[in-house]
Amino acid sequence: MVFSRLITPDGVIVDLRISVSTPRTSRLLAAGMRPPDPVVISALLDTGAHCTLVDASVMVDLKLQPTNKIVVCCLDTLETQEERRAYDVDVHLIDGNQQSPRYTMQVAEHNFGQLPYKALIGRNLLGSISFVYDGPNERVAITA
Amino acid sequence: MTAISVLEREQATFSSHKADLVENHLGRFALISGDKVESIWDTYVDALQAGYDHFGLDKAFMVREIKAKDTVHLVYRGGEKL
Repeated sequence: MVFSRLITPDGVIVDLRISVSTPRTSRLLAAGMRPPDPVVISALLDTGAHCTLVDASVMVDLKLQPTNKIVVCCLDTLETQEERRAYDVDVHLIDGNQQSPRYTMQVAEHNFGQLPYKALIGRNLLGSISFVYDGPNERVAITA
Repeated sequence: MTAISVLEREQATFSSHKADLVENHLGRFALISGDKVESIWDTYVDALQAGYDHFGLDKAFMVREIKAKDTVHLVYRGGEKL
């Protein structure tokens, strides 16, 4: 999948579809339960983030239970270390009818408040995609 | 017992076994529930699958990458305090 995005004043924002992880989905189906519908959110590419953070409301919508805890340090707001619950999810980048391969991964919860995006795509996902920063044309080309 | 308090127990279990895990399984993934390290896996997805297969949907478990030093995940912008 190859697509491009404008570089906005906030940065590069893409759409993510987040769903219950494949192992959890299998277990839900085996128990005769329907997995919650996927959630589509805007996400900021953030090369400065070590891990991917997703708004805590998404975890509620997907009815997830944490399967890890990690320590996060948000340098612009907290300047202190804080434990965050982490969850297993499946993630796809999407662009219209196109979607990237599925990434089963761990994401940590965060409160994005009124920001125009509800996730930061950190290096644990950026490590699976490529992007080319075309500064003169104010676009980024993404291969996922 | 809430999920987060259960994970505190799992975290304590990981900490108490950490030296042995790092020595013998560095870079792999530990599946932990309660006071027991249940199994060790090569990938995150394998450990997760084992967790759901073994514990189902109701019993809490933790999947933790085995590292010598726990990572502090830095984030430079965005959001409000939880």
